[in-house]
Amino acid sequence: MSRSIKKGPFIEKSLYRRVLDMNKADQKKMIKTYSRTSTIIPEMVGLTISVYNGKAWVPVYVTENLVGHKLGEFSPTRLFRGHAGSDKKAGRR
Amino acid sequence: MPMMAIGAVRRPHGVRGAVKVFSFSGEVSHFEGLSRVELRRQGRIWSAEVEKTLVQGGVPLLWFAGVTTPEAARELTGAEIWVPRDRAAPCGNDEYYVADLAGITLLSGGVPCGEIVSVIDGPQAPLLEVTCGDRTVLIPFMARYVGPVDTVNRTVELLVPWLMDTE
Repeated sequence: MSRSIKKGPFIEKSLYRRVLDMNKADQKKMIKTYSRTSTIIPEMVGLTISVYNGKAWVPVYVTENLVGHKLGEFSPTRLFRGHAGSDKKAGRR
Repeated sequence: MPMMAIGAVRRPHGVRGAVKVFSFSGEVSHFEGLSRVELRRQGRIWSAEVEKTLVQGGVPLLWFAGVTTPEAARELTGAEIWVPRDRAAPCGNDEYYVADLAGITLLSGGVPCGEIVSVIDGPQAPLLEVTCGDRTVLIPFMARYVGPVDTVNRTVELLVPWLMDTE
């Protein structure tokens, strides 16, 4: 069953406050949060939110197409490093 | 010429000794035209000649010389396929081999601030795992955060120093 529209998206109060403060100050620094269940809202677009994955902080740059998703979706808890000597590539996005 | 692992033998295919191969890069075009490769498994290294290659449904199939039955092909299961670096999947613009990124020094304002130890698959962008002293930091491999990689001097510039903050 989906969340009631009446309630609006869930976002942790302290995180929401920090997002608003950051936007008010027009700063684009990093916000650290443990709240993986918070929903990405339009006010977060352009900010870097570092989301805890249980071991490390994973910085997430919030863009418009991330709005509506949960922060935890972009901070994987299981990390795959792959084969050290392989021809696997990483592109700078 | 340094060698690179391009894939691993998964399982036999058909009754004529073909093997299915898993491509480490996800690309398959560089498997076409392979002739001599090096196979490595559990510390054992041996050379093998590829008689025929075929890409079927996005999966590379290889026929090795002297391997004509599925039983013989099964013996190769798990072996990694190594080739000279120039036969590996070619890098595109602003693309780097993960193997090359490991060991690169991260600079902040021209001053070394860490070293890349590995690259992790991330949902948004690859994540550079950077060690700085006794702590480890993950940095998205995005043009917004890091500059282009200087492969000659083996350095990369961190554009936003606050990503290294722990507090």
